[in-house]
Amino acid sequence: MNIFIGNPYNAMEFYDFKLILSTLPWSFTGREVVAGLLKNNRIKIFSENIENDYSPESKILRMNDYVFSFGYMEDILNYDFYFYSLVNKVDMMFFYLKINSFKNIDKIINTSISSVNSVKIDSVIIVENDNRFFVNYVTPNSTEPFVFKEASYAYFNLKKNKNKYFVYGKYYKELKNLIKAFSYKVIR
Amino acid sequence: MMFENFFNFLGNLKRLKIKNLIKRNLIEYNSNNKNVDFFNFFVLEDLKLKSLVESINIGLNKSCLFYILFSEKIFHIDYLKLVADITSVFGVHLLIVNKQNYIKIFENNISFLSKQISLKFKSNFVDNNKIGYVFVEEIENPAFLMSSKLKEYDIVFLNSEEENLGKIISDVLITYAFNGKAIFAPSILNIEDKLISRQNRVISVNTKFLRKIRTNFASHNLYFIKEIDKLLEEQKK
Repeated sequence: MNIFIGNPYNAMEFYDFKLILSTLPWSFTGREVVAGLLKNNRIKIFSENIENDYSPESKILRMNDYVFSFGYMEDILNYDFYFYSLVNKVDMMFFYLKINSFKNIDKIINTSISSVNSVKIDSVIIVENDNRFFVNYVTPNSTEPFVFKEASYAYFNLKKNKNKYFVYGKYYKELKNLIKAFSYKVIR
Repeated sequence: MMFENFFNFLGNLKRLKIKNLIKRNLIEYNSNNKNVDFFNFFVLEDLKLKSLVESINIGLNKSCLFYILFSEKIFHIDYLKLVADITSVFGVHLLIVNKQNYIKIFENNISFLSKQISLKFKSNFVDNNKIGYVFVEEIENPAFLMSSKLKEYDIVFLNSEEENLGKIISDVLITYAFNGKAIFAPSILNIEDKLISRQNRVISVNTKFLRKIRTNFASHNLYFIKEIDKLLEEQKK
């Protein structure tokens, strides 16, 4: 699946993409494209000029056998989101951050790299500051992750990895028991 | 019968010697200069009885209630009982870390922790700080990381010196991690803020600030946890 991330005036060079994520609105009549509009720290999904019923709570989008998850500022440091994407068999995670300064962005990306390394799902971190637009691409690797930093746009072909399996082993039972205990604590 | 009596006599003699040693070294310890925000622990060099008592005396003055030893030696159970006698007099925790298992000594209880034992035995509280004992081989499993995130550790002890895995666990759980040589702090913390200090063998880390950051940025999302519970059950079938 071809994916384009960036503002639409850069997208004119490319064709044949199925998913486009941008900060500016753009008309897509007559094309089979799903568009995500990044605005006000949320993502709106359009297909053929109709706003889709994408629920912001579940943060998961399914299209053409592919599964994507969208995270925001409150999710990027939280391992709950990464494990939730792993259990949902997500192919790629997108993070959209709207920030005022670049002071702490390196620390945030470094923590994200460790979490991506443990769940082994490719992820894209989109950073917006003063209408400027940066894309960071992180691929998991056991020794040293590959990071593609601060590009103005990104275009790539995502292939589904069918040779990936996770077995939780004896921790399956432990996790179930802990979640049970945790939910009791909240109700009280 | 004769021999048993003889060995009992020898044991009593040893106990008497230790009692005298403790009496000689007992000093009044000043609890006024204790800082509640910090968790202090002492890294021991060896487990000889005399040096143990001396280092506990040094540590108590700097308000350390947790003592840790990294060694590959195999100690006899009778010797560990003697050590437990001493630590219960002072009321301190002692942890011995091997490649294979952890030995936890507190209040005359000696317990051996290995990889097979359930997670709920691999943690305890010292001074309101939650401490976890983690084997490095477990970190590769994402379900282990998720279940230990639910436990909310403040500091974690590792049994091997692999830098890569130490960084992953401190970033994911937002805790400090110690492996005998280096302390790993999560990358969102500013290390220049004097959160970690190391004087000779006493190490102190600021856990109050860490807890504040964890509740601000990584508090649990109830919706996700409920969904994880549902999906795990579906995938089992």
